[in-house]
Amino acid sequence: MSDQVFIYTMNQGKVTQGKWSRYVFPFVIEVFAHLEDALYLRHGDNVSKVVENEVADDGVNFEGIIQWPWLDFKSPGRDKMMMGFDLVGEGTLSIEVGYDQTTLHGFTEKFAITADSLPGQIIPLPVTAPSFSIKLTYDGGQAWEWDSMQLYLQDFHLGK
Amino acid sequence: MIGTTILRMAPPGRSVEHVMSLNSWQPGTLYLSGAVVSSTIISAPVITAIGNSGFESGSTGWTLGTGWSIALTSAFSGQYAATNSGVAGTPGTLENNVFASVSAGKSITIKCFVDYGTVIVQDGVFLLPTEDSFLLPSGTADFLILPTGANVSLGFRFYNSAFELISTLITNQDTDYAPDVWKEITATHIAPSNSSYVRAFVDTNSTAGTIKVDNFSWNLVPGGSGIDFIFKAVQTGSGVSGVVEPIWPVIDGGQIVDNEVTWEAVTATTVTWQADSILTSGDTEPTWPTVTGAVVSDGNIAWETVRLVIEDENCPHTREVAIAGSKIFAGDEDITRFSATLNPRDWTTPEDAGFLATGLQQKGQVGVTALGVYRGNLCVWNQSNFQIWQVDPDPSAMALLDSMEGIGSGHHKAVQPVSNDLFFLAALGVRTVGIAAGSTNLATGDSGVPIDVLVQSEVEAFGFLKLPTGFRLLLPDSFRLFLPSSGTVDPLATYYPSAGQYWLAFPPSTVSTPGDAPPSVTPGTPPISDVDLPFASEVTAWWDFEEAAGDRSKYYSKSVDGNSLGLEAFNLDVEKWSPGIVDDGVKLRESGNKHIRRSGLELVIANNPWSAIIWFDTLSSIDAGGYILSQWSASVASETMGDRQWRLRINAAGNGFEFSIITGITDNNTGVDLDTGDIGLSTLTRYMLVITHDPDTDLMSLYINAGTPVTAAIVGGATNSINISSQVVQAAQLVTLGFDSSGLTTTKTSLNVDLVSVWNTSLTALNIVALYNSGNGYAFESLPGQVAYNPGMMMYNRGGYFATPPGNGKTFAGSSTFTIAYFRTVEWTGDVEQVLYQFQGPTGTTRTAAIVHASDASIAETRNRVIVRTRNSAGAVICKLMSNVDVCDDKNHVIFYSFNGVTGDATFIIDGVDADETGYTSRVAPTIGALETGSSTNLRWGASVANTLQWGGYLGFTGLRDTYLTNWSDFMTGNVPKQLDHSGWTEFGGSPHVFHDAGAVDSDMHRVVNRFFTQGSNLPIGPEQPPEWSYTSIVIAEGSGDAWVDGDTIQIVSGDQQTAVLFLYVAGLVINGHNGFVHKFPFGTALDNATTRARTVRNVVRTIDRQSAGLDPDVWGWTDNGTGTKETDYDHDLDTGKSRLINLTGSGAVSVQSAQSVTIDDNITVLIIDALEVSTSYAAGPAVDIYNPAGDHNNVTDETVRGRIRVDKTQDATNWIILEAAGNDATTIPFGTPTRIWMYTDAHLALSSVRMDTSTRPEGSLQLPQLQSPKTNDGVVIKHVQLGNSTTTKLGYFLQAQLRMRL
Repeated sequence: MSDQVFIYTMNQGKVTQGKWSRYVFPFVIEVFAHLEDALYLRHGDNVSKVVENEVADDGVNFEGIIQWPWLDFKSPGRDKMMMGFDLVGEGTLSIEVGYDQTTLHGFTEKFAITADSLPGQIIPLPVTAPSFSIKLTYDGGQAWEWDSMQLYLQDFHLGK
Repeated sequence: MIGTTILRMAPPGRSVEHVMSLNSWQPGTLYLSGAVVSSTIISAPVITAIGNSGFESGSTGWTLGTGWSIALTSAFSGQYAATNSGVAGTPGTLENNVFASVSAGKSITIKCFVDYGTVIVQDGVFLLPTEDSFLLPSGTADFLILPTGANVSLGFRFYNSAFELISTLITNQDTDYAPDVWKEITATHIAPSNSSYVRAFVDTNSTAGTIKVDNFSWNLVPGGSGIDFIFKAVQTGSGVSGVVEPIWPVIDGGQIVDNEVTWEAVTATTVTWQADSILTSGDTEPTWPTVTGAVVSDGNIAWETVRLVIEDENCPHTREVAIAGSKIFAGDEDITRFSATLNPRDWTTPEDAGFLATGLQQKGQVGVTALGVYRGNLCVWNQSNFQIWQVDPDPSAMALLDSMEGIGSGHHKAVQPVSNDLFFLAALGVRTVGIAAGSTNLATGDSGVPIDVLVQSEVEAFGFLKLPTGFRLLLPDSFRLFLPSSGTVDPLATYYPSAGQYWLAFPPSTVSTPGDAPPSVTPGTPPISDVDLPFASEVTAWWDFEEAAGDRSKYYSKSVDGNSLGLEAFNLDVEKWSPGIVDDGVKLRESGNKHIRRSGLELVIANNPWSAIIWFDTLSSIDAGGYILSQWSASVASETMGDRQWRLRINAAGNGFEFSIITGITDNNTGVDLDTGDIGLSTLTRYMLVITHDPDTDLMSLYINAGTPVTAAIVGGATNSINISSQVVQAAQLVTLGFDSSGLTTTKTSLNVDLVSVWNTSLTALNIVALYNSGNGYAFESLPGQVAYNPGMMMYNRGGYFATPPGNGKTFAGSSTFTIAYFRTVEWTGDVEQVLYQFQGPTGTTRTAAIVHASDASIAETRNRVIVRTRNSAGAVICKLMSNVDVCDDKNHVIFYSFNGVTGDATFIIDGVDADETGYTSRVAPTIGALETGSSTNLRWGASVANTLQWGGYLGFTGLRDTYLTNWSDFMTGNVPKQLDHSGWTEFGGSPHVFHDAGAVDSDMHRVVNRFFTQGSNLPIGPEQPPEWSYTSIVIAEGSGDAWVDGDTIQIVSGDQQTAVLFLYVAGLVINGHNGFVHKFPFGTALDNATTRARTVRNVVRTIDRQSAGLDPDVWGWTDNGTGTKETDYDHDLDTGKSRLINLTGSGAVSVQSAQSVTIDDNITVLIIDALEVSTSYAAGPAVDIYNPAGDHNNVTDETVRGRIRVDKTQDATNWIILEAAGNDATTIPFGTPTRIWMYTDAHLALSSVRMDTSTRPEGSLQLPQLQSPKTNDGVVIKHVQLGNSTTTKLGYFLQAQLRMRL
C-alpha cells in the first residue's frame, strides 16, 4: 500500500518513448474511474478529480522535484569542476547538486534560485566531483515549468 | 409416413399459404401408380383450446371441486382467476370441461400460473408414485396426519371413447415459492393406451389460505382424424381420375376407386403455421415483482424475476476477466472459460460457450492470474507464463498464437491497454506485451525498466517460502525461484487518455485473490436500512402507551404547521397489554367502554403532507365495522362524526379495512374512500395500518403491513381540497381509538393497540417498510434525528443535597420566579415530604419550592403528587398548585414552574402537559404579590432550606431564574429534555442563577453529603449507574471470593435494600489486609478515570508507599521537622520491621514533612494513611496535617493547616480520630491495631476522614463538613503533608505508616 503513483506519459518530447513520473498524493488511491475526459480517483470515502491546473492535492500543496541521475559526462572517474549553471523555466525553486554518488546525502546545501537565469551572468556554484546529480525542487502551491538547464564544467583531466 | 409438406410463413395476421410439392387431386388427370395427392378440401389441424382457460368468462367451463371458485380477484392476467380457499383434509380438484381428442402415446405439456397467496407452503407433503396407494390399517383411529401446508398438482385426466375415466396423471409441483407472487408451473405426460379424450386438471391440498391459478395452456394437437391423410394411387399402371373428387377414406389404409385410379389413405405429417404477435408488452408498465422466480404478466409476455448474479454454474466468477470476440473470458484455475457469444449469462451452451485450455500450453505454474486484450487477441498470464490467443465469436476459430515462459504477471488489475500496446506488471516491473512478445524476455529495453527498483519495492513482489526446521532448499546453478507476491498490495492501473498517461497505483490488497473466485454472494432480502426511517422531527404526535396504567398521557410531540397539541390526556382508563409491539401497549375492549380518546388535538390534513400509523393485534373475533382510529369534530360530551373528519375502521364485511373522509354530517365517504376489499382479515393477527396524504397529488393511501397500498384521490380537487380543522370547533376535536360515529354505544372495536403516531410528512413506501421492520416496529427513541443528549441523573436518596451557604446565596430581584427540574423517584411511605428544591429570600420566605408527597400522605389527594408553592415577601402563600398526575412512578419527569407576581399568573407544566389540578382542595390560585428580593438568599436542590425533607430520588437538569417564563417547549424535544444553550441562554432568556444539565449541580452551589454514613443510612449522591457487585456487608464481600477488577464498584446495601454505600475497588490499595475499597461517592467520577487511577497508584509506589513500608523514615526523603535532639528526644526508626516515628522524651516533637506539593483542581484527592497504629503510651496530638498556602496559592511561606487528623487521648479508653474543625468527629480506632485512614479533599478544601477498622469491617464512617471555601478556578495547592507535628504534639509513634496520595 502506498500513496505514490507511477505515471508513464506518452506524449513528452520528440522521442517516441514516454517518461515516467512519480506522484505522491496525500492519500492512497484505491480505484480509478473515467467520466468523459476526466480521471477520477477514489480514496476512502472521497472521490477526487484530476484537474490539470490544480496546484494542491486535497488542499495539500506538493513540491515538484526533478532529479537527474548521476551524470559523468562520458568520462567516468575523472573529476570535473562545475563552475555554475543556467536554468530556464517558471516558478520558484531551489537547487541541490549531488557530488558523491555513493551516498544519498552528498548534496550541496539547498538554495533558492531564479526560475530563469539566462539573462545576465550564470549562477555560480563551484563543485568538483566525478559525477553530478542535479536536483531541482519547485515549491508547492504553484504551477511550474522546467524547460532546460545548462551546466558549465571544466574537466580536470590532464590535458584538458 | 410419406410425403412432405412445405410451408412458408405468412405475414403476421394472414393465413398460411401452402406451397406444396404435394399436389391436390385434379379431375380427369392421369396418375401413375404411386402418385400421391391430397384432398382439395384439406384443413390444417390446430391446437385444441382449453375452454375458459383464463377464467375471463366467469364461473363456466370448469368443474369446481372442494374449495374452488372462479371470481374477480387480482388475477395473473385479466380480472378472473380460479381460487381455492382450502378445506382442511379435503383435496380440491379443478377440471376443465372440454374433452379434447387425443391419441394414445401422445405427449402433452400443460402449464398454468399459480399464486400461493400467503399460504405457508411446507415441504411436508406425502407424495406417492402416480396411481399408487398407501394402505392404512382399517379403523377409525388410523389416520395419516400430514403437516399443514399446501401443494398443487397439475396434469390431465384421460378418458376412453365412451368418456369413461381411465387415468389421472398429475405432477406435484415444487412448493418452494414465495407468498403472493405468480409462478409458472408445468406438467408433461403421455396419453395412456385407449385414450380418446383428455381434460386439463388441477388438484390442490390446501389446509389454509388461498391458492389461485390462472391462464392454462397446453400443446395438444388432436390426432387420428381423417384430415391427416394423403392418398396414394395403388392401381396397377396408370389411370385417369374421375370428374368428381371421390369421398376420401377416413381410416389408415382405406381405399376408394376414382374412375381408373384406386386411392389408398396413408398417414401424412402436416404442419400449420399461424402468425401470432409475440413478446408484445402491454399498455402500462406492470408492477414488477421483487422475488426471484416470480412472474408477472405484461401483454402476451410473462416476465420472470431473475437475480443479477450470473447463476450459470460454469461461470467461474473470478476477477480475471476480459471482453473479446463478443464474449466474456474469465480465468478458472488452469483453463480460461468464455461465455456464449452475446450472452454473458450463458457459460454452458456447447459450441458457443466453452473454455481455452490455457493450462495445457505451459510447463510452469498453472492458474490464470491476469487477462488482457492486445490487438484483438486475448493475453493470458499466470505467474510464470504468457500466452496470446486468437479469439472469435465462433469457438472453433479460436487458436493459440504464442506462448512464452518466464513472462508472468500476477496483477490483473495492472493490465492496461496504452496506446497501441498492452502494459502489464510483471515481477520485475512494468512491461509491455509488444516488447515482451518480441524479445521473449522481460529484462531490458522495455518502457518500465527505469522504475523497476521503485516498483519492486512497492509490489513486494516476492513472498516467502517457509521450510521446516533443518530443511534447506538447494537450487541448481543459475536457477531462480520465483515466489508469488506476498499480497500486501493490489496494483491498479488505468490509462488517462486526455493526458496520454498510464497510471500505476498501489492500493492495499483486497479480498480478491489472483486466480481465486471472490467470496460468494448469498442472495437474500436486503436488510431494512434505517436510512429509510423517517426522522423523529417528522412526528407530530406519538403515543407508545408505556405507562403501566392511568391515562397514558405520555407522548412525544411538537408543534408543526399549525398542529398544536392540546393538553388533555386520554380520559378513559384501559388495561395494559404486555408485551405490546414495542414494550407495552393498551387493551381496547368493547365492554366497559375501554376505549381511548385524546381531545383538543388538531391534526390538520388540509393541503399538508400527512400520515398516521396504528399497530394492533386482532382478537379472537372481528368487530365488523368497528372503528380503529378516527378524528372527530363535535364536543367531548357527544362524540359524533362531523364534517371533514376521518375514520379508519374494519369494513362492514369484516374482512378488510376502510379509511374514509367524511364531507358531510351524514355518515358517508364522499371525501375519500380507501377500501381494501377482502384481504382475509384474520383473528389473532398483527397489523400495521398506515394512511398517507400527498399534497402534491392529493392522493391518500392506505397501507397494510407495508404492502401495496390502496390509493385514491380526495374528491374536490388537487389543492387544499380537505381541511379537517377549518370547519369545526377547534377545541373539541378528538383523536379516538375505538369509537364509532354513533358514540359510545355501538360498533366498537376490541383490539390490542400500540404505537399510534401522526406525522407531518407523507411517508414513502420505503419509509413504511422501514417502520414496519418485519413486523417488529420501532420505538420513538430509535428514530433517526433524535437528540441523543439525555441529561444525567444524580442519585440523591436523601444522602445529600446542593446548597448555597447561609447568607451566601444569590441576589433575587423582581417578583417573578422560574424553576425547571428533571427528576425521577419511586413511591415512599411514612408520610414524609421530600423537597425537590426550595429557594428563599434573605429573610426566609420562599420564592419557589416543589415538594413531593409520600404514597401514604395524610392528605390523600396529595399522595405521590408534587406541589409547587410561592410566598410573597410577607410570607403569605400566593400560589400553591398541585400536579394532576402522580410523579412517583420511577419515570423521568420534567417539572416547569413559573410565577409572575406582577400579573398573578403561573405556568405549571409536567412533561409538556398542563399539570395544574384545579380541583386541589388547598389550591391557592396565582395572586398578584411582591416576592422577597435581595442578596443573602438561600438555595437548595434536593432538600429544604433547613436541610431536612431531603430528596430521595434522582435529579438532573435544573435551572433557576427570577423571571416569568412560559416557553416550556423550548426546554424539551417532545417530553425529552434537550441540551441547552449555555452561551446565549436561549431557553432561559438570560443567564440563570444556577443551572446544570449534566447530572450535577456544581454551578455556584456546594455539594453537601450527609455525615455519618453507616450501614443503614442513606445512599450518597452519585451518578446514576448500577454497581458491579452488591453485598449486604463488607465482611460478606471480603469473604465472597469474587474476583473484583480494578475499578469495579462495590455496593454494600442494607438489609432492607433501601440504603447503600458504594465503594470503588482499587487493586493497588490491597495491602496490609485492607480490601482496596475507597468510597466511590461523593467523589463522582474523579475516581473512575482509569488513567488517573493508574497514575496515582504508580505515584504511590514510586514516591511514598514502598519507601514508607518498612523503611526508616530517615530514608523517605521527607523533611525532618522534629524538635529537640534526634535520637534523644525523638527518633525515626524501624520497630519490628515497621516504620516508626517516636517521641522519646515528650519534651520535643516528632514529625516528617513530605516534599510533594499537589495541585487540586476539581478532582478529589484521597490521602491514605495506611496501617496507622497508635500506642497508648503517649498523649494525643495531630497525626496528619495538610498544609495549604493561604491566600496566594504560590506564597509558600504563608502556610496554614487546611486539614488535620489528630489523635485525641482525652477519653480514657479510646483514641479518637478527629478533624481540626470542631464538631467533625470521626469514630474510634482501637489501640495497637493497624488502621487505614482516608482523608478526602477537593478543590473546595472540604475535608473528611474515613475510618476503616480492620477487625470489624464496618461499612465505613464518613463525615464531611459543609464546604467552607469558595470554589477557585485555578485549583488549590497542597503544600505538603506532615506526619506528626513539630510544635505541639506529644504524639507517641506510628507503626507501619504509609502515606498515599491520589489525584
